[in-house]
Amino acid sequence: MEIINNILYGFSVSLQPINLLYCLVGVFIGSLVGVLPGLGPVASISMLLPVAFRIPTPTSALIMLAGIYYGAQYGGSTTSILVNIPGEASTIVTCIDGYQMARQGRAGPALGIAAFGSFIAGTLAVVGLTLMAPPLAHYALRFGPPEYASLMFFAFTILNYIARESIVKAFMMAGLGLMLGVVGMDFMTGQHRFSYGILALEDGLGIVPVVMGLYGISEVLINIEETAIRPVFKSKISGLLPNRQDWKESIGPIGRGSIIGFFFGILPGGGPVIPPFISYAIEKRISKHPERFGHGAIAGVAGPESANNAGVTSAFIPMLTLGIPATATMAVLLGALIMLGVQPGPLLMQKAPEIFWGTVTSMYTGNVMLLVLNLPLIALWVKVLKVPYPILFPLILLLCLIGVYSIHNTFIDIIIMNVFGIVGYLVKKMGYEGGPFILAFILGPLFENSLRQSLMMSKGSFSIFYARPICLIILIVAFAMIVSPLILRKRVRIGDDTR
Amino acid sequence: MLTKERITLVFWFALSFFFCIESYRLGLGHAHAPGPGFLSFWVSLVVGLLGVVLFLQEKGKKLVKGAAPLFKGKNLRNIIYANVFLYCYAGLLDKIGFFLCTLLFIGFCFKVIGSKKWKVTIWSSVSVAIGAYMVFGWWLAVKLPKGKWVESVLSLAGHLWK
Repeated sequence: MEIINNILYGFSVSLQPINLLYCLVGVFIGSLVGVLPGLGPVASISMLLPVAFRIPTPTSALIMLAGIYYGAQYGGSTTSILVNIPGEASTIVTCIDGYQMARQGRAGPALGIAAFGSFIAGTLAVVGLTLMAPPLAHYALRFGPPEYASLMFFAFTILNYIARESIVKAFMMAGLGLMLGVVGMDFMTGQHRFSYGILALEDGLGIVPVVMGLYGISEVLINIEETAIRPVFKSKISGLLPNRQDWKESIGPIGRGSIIGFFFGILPGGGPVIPPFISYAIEKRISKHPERFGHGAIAGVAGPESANNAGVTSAFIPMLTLGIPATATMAVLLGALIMLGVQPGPLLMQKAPEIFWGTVTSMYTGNVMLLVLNLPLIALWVKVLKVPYPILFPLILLLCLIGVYSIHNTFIDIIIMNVFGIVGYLVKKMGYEGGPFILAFILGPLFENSLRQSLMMSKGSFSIFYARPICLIILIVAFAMIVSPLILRKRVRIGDDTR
Repeated sequence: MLTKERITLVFWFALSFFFCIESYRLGLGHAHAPGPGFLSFWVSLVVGLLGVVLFLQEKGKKLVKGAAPLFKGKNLRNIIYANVFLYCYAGLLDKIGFFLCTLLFIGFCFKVIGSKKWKVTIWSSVSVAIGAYMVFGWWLAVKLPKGKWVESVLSLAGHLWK
């Protein structure tokens, strides 16, 4: 009964006209950035952080930012189907059969089933989130500093799975994130660390300039160094509604994709990227006509598209209930919430129920909006695809510049962003990844505080971490996370959702 | 081992060394009362060790003949121009103000990197600057700088007018 009351309360928040408006803005921008290759949800969320800080309430801000994240998955499928370029890492699989369908003149049903599948999966995943989050948060209320320190340590083991390239390089980037995360005043002693008298560094490096530089600026730099010209979609799209046969072939993949997406999305490093691959593999294996896959099978679009949307929604569970971001985008959202004065974690549901339940229920309305928006707006998205990058990139850079300046009205933040833009560009060129850095940069200060508080509580004894049952369980799981790839000798390559 | 790996390893070792020394200088404290340099010291040590692991991993790899250099086939000129424009924007924003700075930034990006025609460049940069001012300065009420130099010129012009 309590859950129904909570949902009703959530709807009373999310259905307020202002929140509906921000939800609409979020899903629209999300769809737009999903359509634009080279501009991922992390970059767009970080670019819009300054705008989010000007939104009257944190609830509205989070509703908008969350809308961008799940909206991007809808938009990402459009480019995959029409031009064979995945707008997001999570829509790579959609290219395989979606593009073949488009080449056979069936772009309409492919886009249609992607939108319907996304809607069904997204909605089912929100139901799962609604049911799973409260018990998890309730359990996590017993946490003290040692449990939090263990939990943060566990979060760092996620790197094992977030890393697409070398694990060693991922941990080195995380180390850099931890080291730069401590720049500024030490809250326990009041001592300034690594600031060397530079006023702008005394409060630490801001999340926004760092994230914007690392993702926004560096993505533009990576794109403008390319000399190749993007292909432009030319043919017309008609008949967006899938026929009866299409539905018959898709309904099973949509159901399975939703379940796969939901459960893999909760896992650290899962998010929306890995579930589509699993869904595609399963659909191909159980299909009566596996030979059709790769040649325009609608199940090859319906399953993965459902899986990535369910994955996006379930990735909110660890972030909202435990304060652990499972993906790079979630890390940025976590940072945004902290900057808005909200601490995600088990107390969020008690201290700020309007934020928690308002955001969760906004996802129901957001999914409806996306379905209503995306089908009629496909013609617009096709036009957006035709915008040449030389026109687009100055606008992206300008958004970053204004956004970062507007936070403290100082050009120092712009310089920090530019520096991290070059750093982001170079690390990508050298085969390093930004995701582990951001995760550690945001969690670093929280980890340091909990660790030092725990050691002070135990008078310097590390036994506090294995004398407390919850700590012990978390650390055992963390240890299993570290050694499991070594034992299996097969690391599941899971990409971050930075694009 | 590839040259780019060597360069990055030197960077990592230097970084690790720097943070180790600086963290030690800040104070490591004791286990019962960790100091401000406690975490960064141990993290920098781990980063140094990971650098050694990476070195050992890369040591076995032979330089592939004909391997493409890092920037081959890439338009490095665009990267340099973009960075110059970004730093100029940061440096000039307080001096010439948001509107003029944005106008010049967009104009240079369109003309120099985007290779657009003059007419398109001027028309687009003016529209973008006005649009950005309307959205951020007027609608979102962001405090955008008017520019010290521009204000001085305007004030001088005002005096001369009187």
